[in-house]
Amino acid sequence: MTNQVILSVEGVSKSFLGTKALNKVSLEVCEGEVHGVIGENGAGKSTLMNTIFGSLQRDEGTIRFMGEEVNFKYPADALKAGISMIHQETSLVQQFTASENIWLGMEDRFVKNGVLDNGARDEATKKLFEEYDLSIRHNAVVSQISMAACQMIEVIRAVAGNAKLIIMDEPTSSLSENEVGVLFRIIRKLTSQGVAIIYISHKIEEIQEICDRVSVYRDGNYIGTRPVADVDRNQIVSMVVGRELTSLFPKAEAEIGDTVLEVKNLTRYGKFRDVSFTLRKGEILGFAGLEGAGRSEVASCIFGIDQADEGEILINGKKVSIKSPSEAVELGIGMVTEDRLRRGIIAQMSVKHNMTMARLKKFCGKGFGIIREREETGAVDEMIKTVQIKVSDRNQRIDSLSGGNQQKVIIGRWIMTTPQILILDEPTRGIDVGSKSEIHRLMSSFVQQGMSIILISSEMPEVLGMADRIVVMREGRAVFTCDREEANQELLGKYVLG
Amino acid sequence: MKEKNNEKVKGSSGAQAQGKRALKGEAVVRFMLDNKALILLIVLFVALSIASPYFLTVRNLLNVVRQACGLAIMGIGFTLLLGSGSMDLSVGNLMALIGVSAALLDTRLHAHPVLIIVICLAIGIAGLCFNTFLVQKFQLPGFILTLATGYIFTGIMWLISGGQSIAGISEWMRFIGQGTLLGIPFQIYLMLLLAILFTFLIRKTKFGRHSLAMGGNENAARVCGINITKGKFLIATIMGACVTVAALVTTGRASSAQLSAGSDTAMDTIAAVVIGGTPMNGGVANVPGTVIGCLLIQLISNGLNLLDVNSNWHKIAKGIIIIIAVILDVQGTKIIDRLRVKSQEKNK
Ligand SMILES: Nc1ncnc2c1ncn2[C@@H]1O[C@H](COP(=O)(O)OP(=O)(O)OP(=O)(O)O)[C@@H](O)[C@H]1O
Ligand SMILES: [Mg+2]
Repeated sequence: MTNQVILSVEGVSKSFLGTKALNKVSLEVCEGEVHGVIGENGAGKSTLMNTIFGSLQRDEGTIRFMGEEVNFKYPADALKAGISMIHQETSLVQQFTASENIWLGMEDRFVKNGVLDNGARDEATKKLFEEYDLSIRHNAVVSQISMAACQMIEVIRAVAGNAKLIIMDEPTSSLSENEVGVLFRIIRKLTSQGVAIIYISHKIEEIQEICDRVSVYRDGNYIGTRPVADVDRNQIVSMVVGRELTSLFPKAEAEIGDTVLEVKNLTRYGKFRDVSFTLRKGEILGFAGLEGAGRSEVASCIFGIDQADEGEILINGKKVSIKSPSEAVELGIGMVTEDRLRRGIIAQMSVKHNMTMARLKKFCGKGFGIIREREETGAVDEMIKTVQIKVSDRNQRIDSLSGGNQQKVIIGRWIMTTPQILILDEPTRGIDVGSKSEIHRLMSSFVQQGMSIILISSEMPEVLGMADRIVVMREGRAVFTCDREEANQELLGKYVLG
Repeated sequence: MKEKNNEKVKGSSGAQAQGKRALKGEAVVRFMLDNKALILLIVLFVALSIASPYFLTVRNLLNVVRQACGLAIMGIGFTLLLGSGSMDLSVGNLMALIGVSAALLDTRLHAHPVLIIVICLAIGIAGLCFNTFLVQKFQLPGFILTLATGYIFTGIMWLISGGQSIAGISEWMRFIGQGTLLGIPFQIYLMLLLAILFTFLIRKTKFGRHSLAMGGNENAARVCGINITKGKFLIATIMGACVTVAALVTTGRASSAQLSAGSDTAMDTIAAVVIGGTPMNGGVANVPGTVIGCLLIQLISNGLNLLDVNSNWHKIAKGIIIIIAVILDVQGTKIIDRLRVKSQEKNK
């Protein structure tokens, strides 16, 4: 690692209507360094990156890039100067191919006599994919490939633009462990060429593995920077949350009762086959596996988003046929879906309206369905406290919240319905360590009150830490089931990968 | 070190409170942007009061409101439709068809008023539900589909009318469009009633909330257990009723069913709704805004009339107002951001 400073941010502030998102913060990144950035949800990480990248204008402060003071008005200026950013939510054009996306805005390189040479462009893409050892087809249409592949394409786009600094905002939130490995390989290759990386993540293990230094932010304030080698996990955690964290997986004993859900030989052609399992009262059933193993698809069928082709679902011993989520909700099932943007938030609506959307009936009188406003507001305020959402106003639009806080609103939405069976698909994706431990604690207390939970997670420690029983899925089949006591990382890993 | 951190956090909440006070001016700007139709209306109102001595008379103002009513009744329903993520370009054609049907039933068959109203409601609701059925069943884009069904409605209207406007309608129908109650035109009562009803429906009921959720993110709404198909048909039914009321008001006002009654209606309605602050892509619905948007459009025509401006300019003026409203809509947040950065620079 050379010590040449490539980016230095000093005294930057930024406020939105009603919130001060950044309060005189600093950041310093060196050439060839992977600089970790960590902090609670809503700490201002994404906002800081957006001001560096020119998507947002800062209120005050200076930003120096490669020795010169810069003031990017638009992301295009930042890209030209050599800064690239991979956003928290993907920003690829869904209808375009991988190759078209990578060179978007840089087509000039392949123009011959005023005509775009698509062949040359695709060749360049293939070469890049080979160089970084990726098995993505250059002509694959983005809407049809996995989220992990999309993430890789975004990385390659940054590489193709010859960026000197690449900002990665939670790049691994939708990647499985293997894919994280691939990403790290790419990052190491880049840094060996002198490229600097800003790496935002809530996963401390990742920060410890890949970063040279780490900067911590909290509540819009800069807390400090440490060389990763000098601090241990607990020190990072306490810098992030501002206190000692007792346990990330507060698992409490719950009384396990009768079977509430039984799934028999469930099959959906092309997605999964012959999946059977049972879920008992007071139990947390974990689903481990890779992205695309069919876990979310099984959950979608139970919740009525999709229809199974064969097999049976029994609830409390009675055979049911669930044709839509509204029927599932009637049967006492709730589901936090994996894809927050597409199936979770309603961007134009407020935090309050988003939160009560699945349980509006509870706040309505009979007949015309007039909402009892005060009761609704009270319940929302209580939930904001319970799941610790950082909002300035319950009536602010949900898309003005930080990513992690949006996720918490969705979790709150389903907790509010007090379902008998709660399906959580990657519930703590993008959520900071402090809140994660809080959500785990809530899960424990809900099963103690007699709820049953299906927990789908790509994070092995989460499944191991919280589940009473674990089902491993691989390539559309349930390949292994075991109890909490038997389970460990190696055993599950063996079945996950096959 | 830990304690130091805590101090920092406390300090920041103080800073936040200070920030909030400084942001008060911003809140005013935000309010103005949120209610841009109202601001435009006030500006235009003041300008016209100064420019023309005939403008600020009870008679003229009542006239403006009366003329805006038909459009507003349509627009109020359309606000809900657009907010729930649907689009319908055939409402104007359907309105003309209903007007002709009502006039035919009245003048040729001398049907009882109640029967006529029931039949008209049936046509309106059936028309909208037909559109909704096709859109839902075959997953079609509403924009194109309703363009097509609009032609069909107009074709039917020409067939049954024989190509001529139908005059000589009964007293009761004329009353809907021309009569007064306590000195105030009857249609204004109708319009206000609908405006209040729809505002209440959208803001205070489960149905309204679910409709907007559908418009904002249909997938998410479905996952929340909302029955999308049922909701869409319910909204189509309500919109069908609005189209019927608008048709009766328009026919009554003209004392006859005009074949051209619906030609500009869909576009005028969309313009008024969008100026009023309901975006094209759903999830938000502003009924009072729509009423103000309709008044604004009517005020432009009225003002230019009073000032003796060639009527071709009316369309140009309407176009310009729509452009201004849309720019304010899309650039609103950026404008606030600029203002803040500027004021902060000044403070230094
Ligand atoms: N457009 C906006 N309008 C109002 N407030 C905003 C807007 N964008 C962000 N904020 C606020 O700024 C604060 C910082 O948000 P930011 O997205 O930077 O957090 P973050 O650190 O990236 O969190 P996460 O880990 O959840 O992604 C939050 O309190 C958020 O509500
Ligand atoms: Mg963020």
